[in-house]
Amino acid sequence: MRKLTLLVAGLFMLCASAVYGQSRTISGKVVSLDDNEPVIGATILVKGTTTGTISDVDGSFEIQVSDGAVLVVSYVGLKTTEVVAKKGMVIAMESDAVLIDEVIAVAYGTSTKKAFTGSAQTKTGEELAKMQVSDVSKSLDGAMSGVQVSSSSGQPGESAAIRIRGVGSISASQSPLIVVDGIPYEGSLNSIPTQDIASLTVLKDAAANSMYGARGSNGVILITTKKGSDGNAKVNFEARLGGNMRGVPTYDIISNPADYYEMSWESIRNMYLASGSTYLASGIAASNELIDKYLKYNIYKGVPNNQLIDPVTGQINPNATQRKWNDNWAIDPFQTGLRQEYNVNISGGSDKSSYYISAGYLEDNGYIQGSGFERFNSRVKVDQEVTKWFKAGANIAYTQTSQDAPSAGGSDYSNLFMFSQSIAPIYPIYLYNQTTGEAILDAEGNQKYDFGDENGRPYASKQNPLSYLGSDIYRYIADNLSLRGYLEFSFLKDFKFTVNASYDVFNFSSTEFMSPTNGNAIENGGTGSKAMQRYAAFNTNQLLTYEHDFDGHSINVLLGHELKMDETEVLSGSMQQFYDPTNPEFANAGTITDLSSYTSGYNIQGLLSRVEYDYSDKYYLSASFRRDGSSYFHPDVRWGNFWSVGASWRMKEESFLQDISAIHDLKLKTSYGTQGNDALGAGATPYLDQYSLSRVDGMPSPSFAYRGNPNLTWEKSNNFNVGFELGLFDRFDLEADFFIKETNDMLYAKPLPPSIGSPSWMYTNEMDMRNVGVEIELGATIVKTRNVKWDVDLNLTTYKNSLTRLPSDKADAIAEDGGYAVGGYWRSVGGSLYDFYDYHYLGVNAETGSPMYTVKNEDYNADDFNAVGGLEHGQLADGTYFVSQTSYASRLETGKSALPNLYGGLLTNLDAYGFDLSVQTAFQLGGYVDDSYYASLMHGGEYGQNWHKDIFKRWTPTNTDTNVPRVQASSQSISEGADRWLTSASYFSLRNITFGYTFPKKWLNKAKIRTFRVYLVGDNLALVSARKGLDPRQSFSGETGYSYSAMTTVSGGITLGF
Amino acid sequence: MKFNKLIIAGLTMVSLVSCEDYLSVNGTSTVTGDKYQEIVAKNPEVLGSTLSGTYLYLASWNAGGADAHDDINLMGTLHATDLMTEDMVQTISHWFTYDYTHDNRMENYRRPSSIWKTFYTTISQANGVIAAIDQDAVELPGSKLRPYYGQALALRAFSYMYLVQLFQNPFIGEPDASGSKIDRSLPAVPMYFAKNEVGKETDYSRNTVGDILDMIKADLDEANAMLTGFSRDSKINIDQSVVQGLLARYYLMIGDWDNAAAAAVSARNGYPLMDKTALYSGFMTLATPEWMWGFDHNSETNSMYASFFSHVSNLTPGYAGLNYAPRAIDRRLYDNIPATDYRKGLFNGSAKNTEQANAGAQGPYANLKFGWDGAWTMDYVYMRASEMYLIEAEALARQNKMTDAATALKPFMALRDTAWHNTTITVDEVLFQRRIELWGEGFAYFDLKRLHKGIDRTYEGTNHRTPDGLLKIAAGDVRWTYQIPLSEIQENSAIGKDDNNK
Repeated sequence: MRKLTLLVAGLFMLCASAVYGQSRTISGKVVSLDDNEPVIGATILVKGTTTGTISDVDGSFEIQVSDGAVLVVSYVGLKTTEVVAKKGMVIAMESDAVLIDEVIAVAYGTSTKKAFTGSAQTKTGEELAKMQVSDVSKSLDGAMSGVQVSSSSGQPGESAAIRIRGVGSISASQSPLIVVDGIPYEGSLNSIPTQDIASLTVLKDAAANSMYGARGSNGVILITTKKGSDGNAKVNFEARLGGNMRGVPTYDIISNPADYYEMSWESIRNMYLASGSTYLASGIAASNELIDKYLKYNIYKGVPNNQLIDPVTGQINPNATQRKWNDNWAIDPFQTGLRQEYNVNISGGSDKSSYYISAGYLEDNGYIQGSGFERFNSRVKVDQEVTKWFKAGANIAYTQTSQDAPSAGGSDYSNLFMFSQSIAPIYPIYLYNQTTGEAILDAEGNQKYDFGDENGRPYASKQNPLSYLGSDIYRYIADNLSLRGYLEFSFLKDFKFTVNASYDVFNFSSTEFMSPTNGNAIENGGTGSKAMQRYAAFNTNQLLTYEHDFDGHSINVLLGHELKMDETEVLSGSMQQFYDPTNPEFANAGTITDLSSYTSGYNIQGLLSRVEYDYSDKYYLSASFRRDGSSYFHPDVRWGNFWSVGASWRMKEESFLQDISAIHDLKLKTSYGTQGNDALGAGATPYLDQYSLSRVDGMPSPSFAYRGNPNLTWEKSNNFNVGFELGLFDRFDLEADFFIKETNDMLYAKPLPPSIGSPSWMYTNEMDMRNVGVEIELGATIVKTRNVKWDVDLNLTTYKNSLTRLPSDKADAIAEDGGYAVGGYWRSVGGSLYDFYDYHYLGVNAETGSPMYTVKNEDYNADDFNAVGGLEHGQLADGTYFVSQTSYASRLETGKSALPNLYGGLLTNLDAYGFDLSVQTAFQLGGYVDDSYYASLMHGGEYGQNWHKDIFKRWTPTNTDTNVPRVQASSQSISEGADRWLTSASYFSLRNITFGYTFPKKWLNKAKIRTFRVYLVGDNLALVSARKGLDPRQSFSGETGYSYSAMTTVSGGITLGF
Repeated sequence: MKFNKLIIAGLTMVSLVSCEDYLSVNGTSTVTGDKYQEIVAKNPEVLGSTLSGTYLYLASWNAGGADAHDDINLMGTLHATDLMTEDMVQTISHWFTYDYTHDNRMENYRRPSSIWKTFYTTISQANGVIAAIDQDAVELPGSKLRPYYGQALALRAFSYMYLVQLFQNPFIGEPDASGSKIDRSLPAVPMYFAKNEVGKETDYSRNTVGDILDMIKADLDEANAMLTGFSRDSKINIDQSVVQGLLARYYLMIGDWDNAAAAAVSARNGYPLMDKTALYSGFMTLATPEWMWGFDHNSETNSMYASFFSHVSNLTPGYAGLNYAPRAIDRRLYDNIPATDYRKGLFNGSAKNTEQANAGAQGPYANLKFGWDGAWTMDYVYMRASEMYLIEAEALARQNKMTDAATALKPFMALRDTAWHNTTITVDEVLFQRRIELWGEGFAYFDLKRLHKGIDRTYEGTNHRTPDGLLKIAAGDVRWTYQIPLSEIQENSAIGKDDNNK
């Protein structure tokens, strides 16, 4: 607001003249409703007269009026207001959104919101910067319609995966194209600090992104970095200091050792029972062997191992009260990590030039030792009008990131997130004397870690992930240099020729080191891997535009050429036998175990064109055509054609709506077009067979590693969009879009029969898929007064994903069953990409405590089943056949999909008297995840492995009405993969709360401070899901794992401008 | 006019970079198929290195692709099947536990899939070598390519020999009308050939046991011819002696005793037997003169925890040695070994052996046969001369030539048990020697199957794991046969879900 005010002020001051003639003088003040700042240079007229004045630098004015006079106050960009003149009046002026058209970034240029025929959503840098993320992708959760975000890891510096308008591909990348300042960006988003971002726009439909034809099928994210503006130099400084904590709690696991001992005893007792022993004999064997043979650790003082559990009752010995140690794996390893962030920028310019310079530092420590992210960033952006017809600009950014990211994925024992929840609560972190409970110290007097091997811990012997965090190294350092520039020539009145070019270089160095003092690497004297990678991407486009207006017609033609080439160079090696156990470098090691280097590249080029036409700001038409060739495809099939058409109609401009004041905006729009996808990630030449080489006896030995397909070509998506934008009563804004996005000839990693030999899969262009959905963005200004403003925004997206064509060779299967199974999913025409196909859990056999699974009538064969020892089978009252092991059961369509029915976000902002409060939430309704982690905590009796507390509901002879089977050690059929573990993926997440206070200008002016704000901000403050500990946001396909769970961050910060 | 110049400059730039060549990019992390063909065409002798890749594949891990530490390709198959017998005890439940408890055979489990992929990938790679060789040229006696062709055929036959026994139970208790103990009509496994093999057609269905056996025989015979005169550089390669050994195994399997004995004698020619010192050296050196074929591991090729020695050797700091799951010998088998037999010393007795450093090696009956070289580079053995002596002796005894059998075994027994002076020997006695000598090397399961024998681990005084290891399983039980993996049933239209083994 203030910017505009200043701009116009000068003009009016010159021609201002006081008008006299009436009897009474009143004074007043004009302020802006948006920010309560004075409006300088507003015109104040007495209605029906020529008497008027102009407000001064404080917004104040004096005017002579007669009683009951009405003042008409006007100002460019604000709504003209009429008020009755009063002494000491304050006139609050509302901004006129329709008058100031929002400029948005679009493909190869900018557009205004009113003229745009496509579907896009924009977030300003200010909104994004509220989130305390080290990677901007993580701030989009719930932020806008049509954008779905999945965060598989809370590790600082990790990116989230983004899907726009549903899953658009099977085996090729489903990620959108990122474009920074007009040129595709090839690096990691974590190298662009949010503070440098002016706006982030997501292009969703064909009209919006067909211009990025080749790589636009998954949507496009345009990031525009900040630039300077004319006027005095401005300095902004921001600082934030806070802490990171574990954001998703552990599952509700057994925490009391006594409970664990009792349950383990029961599982061992039941194992003996199953082998034919009596209850008593089984109980005695279980009591005798519980510690000495199986669990090994007796945490209780003064209770002999074989008397820990009563062999008859199964109850813990009442004397078991004193513990030998109090370590807690589920809690102790997690700490609060420091997060601090500082950014400063200086910007300014003249009418011919502008500059923006920024620097920043971020330290974002995870909540486990050895995990963190550090970033130093700097940017210089300069724009200069050299002559009337020539403009040029450059944008240079250098970022260094350093990430410490210990292994936190998969079921490896070094994954602390799995280990700490899976290990039974009877095992300590540190080493103790098993008899006395006395801590055992090393030579330096520090407590030694317990690796389990000295005492024969059955769970993960030789492993202690906490000890590795201190000694192992997983460090990834990246130097990112991003150079962007443009030259713009205007000529022949309507023509413009622009050359954009960028060169992004990423030097990446990784060090992974397992110390010889720890677990996995003791026998090898330590193992270390290093990799140096250089990735360089050159992008350029040359654009010729013609823009001409005549008689209300406006035409804009764009012709262009674009090319991109990137090259990767990698050198990597591994060694063992390290001399100094703390030095991960190869100069410190003895045995080479691997050494390799290679290069790879990817080139693409395209010819593009676009025509835009509009008539009297009412009717807009656009059409584009683009032809792209990709080096990923065989020369015969590498070129693809992509095009789009779009139209919009600004109905509000029509005479029949002009006078309806309730409607302040109404626009209809529609578009159709195609985009492509070639992002395979299968080396430089996915169309050729590939052999990888290993060394045998010092000679290279090739093995067939990749099955090429010369016919491989573009995956194409066709997008249809129709929508409207409606504004009502100056308070409500509604945008709604209906879309159909079809992906044809999908790049598909088609599984082949394994008997063909490895690799038993191949990329093909097969299968079609469709996403049909609706997106709604609703904005409401609930309160809007001079001092209080309250907005609420809601975005909702719902879409249905369905397959429309299946692989040709599945015709037989389809004819028979309507579909076919791939892994854990059922694929059928009309079904979604992620429809779970699984064994159906019928519950527990009340007589035996065994699980029951459905067997289809045709698969049920009593004679065969009788021949299998220990297999229970039969028929339920409703006629369903059941069997007690999944191997003999039938897999069925579960009718459950991993994809949600609805997702969105609810955001609200409240500004009052200088205070601001904003709350952002994200939610998802419907969909299922396979809660494999929970499944692994509901086992039948794995020695030393913890249970979820739901195991207390297990079947026993006295608790037969339950859904949880009995426990029984050494029986894998008690807890098998089945639809039993499919769990609702609905969630609600409290994504961000920010509370701030902006000091009033009048206080600051004295100190020559332009702006000063202090705030508190919290990220990821709560997650409500179907089960405590379950984070359904981990993937789109319904898989869950033992990942670095999401982080809660709470900080305080200041923003200072002068 | 300068604007025109600019446009021309711009358009020139456009046209310059538009050339097609620019879109052809080469990656260098792999050898592309066309480049590979070109290299092989120019110098077909590089096929030797392709074969090395296959030998490495058999000795490495993760055929199933699930990163499971018990998925150790060929040795994983041999070890899983050893654990299904009576001879080996897994004292604590860990990796391979469900093999030990006979609960790992179903289509959706990992084991059948790992085994299937191990052998079919070997077959595919062997066929790749065959496909790269001109069929007519290789028939010429002087062709330099014959050794490669022969090894590929032998690897293919070797793979099918396992597949036909694991995914079917071809052996019947009583001989049929023709006197055969093999039911040749049973459905077996898909049969793949190289594209250039004349008169041979890949058949994706469950070909009969008979068809597979015939193919094995034909491949081995041809391999035998191709490898005549081939002198290998390393014992990781198959040469004619190994093919003779494979033929001996084949004849033993189908009950062709004359040929079995002859092939065994021919195979072992030139390989001195291991003496006591060698027996006590940990079974980890391919250079051992008795060893005919194996794999020579080094610091790059070994797979540490996911290796055979990690699981089987109680002396190695792996899963067995760390006391996760030590491997012991069956007590009944151990007790029957005479005190004078050196091989008794490869196992602990009934008492705890406190001299051993590793917890896994201290337990009663724990095996000390497989050792530790201090660096995870222990070699694998696939075939050695002792097996050939035992095949010869069994084949002779089968023909009631008890004296000849004893004579044949004499040189072998002299190095095993100095008190052994038998002049006649029965089939059962030879089989007993097989169980002791080849313990842990992947023979016990296949012997049980061909002999149509079951197991009984429930005998009085058993040292098998209580209670889940205490199994009694009859010959012919479905548990002796793997189901074809689900992924094969799903993707191979020639095998339906009803075609799987029960």
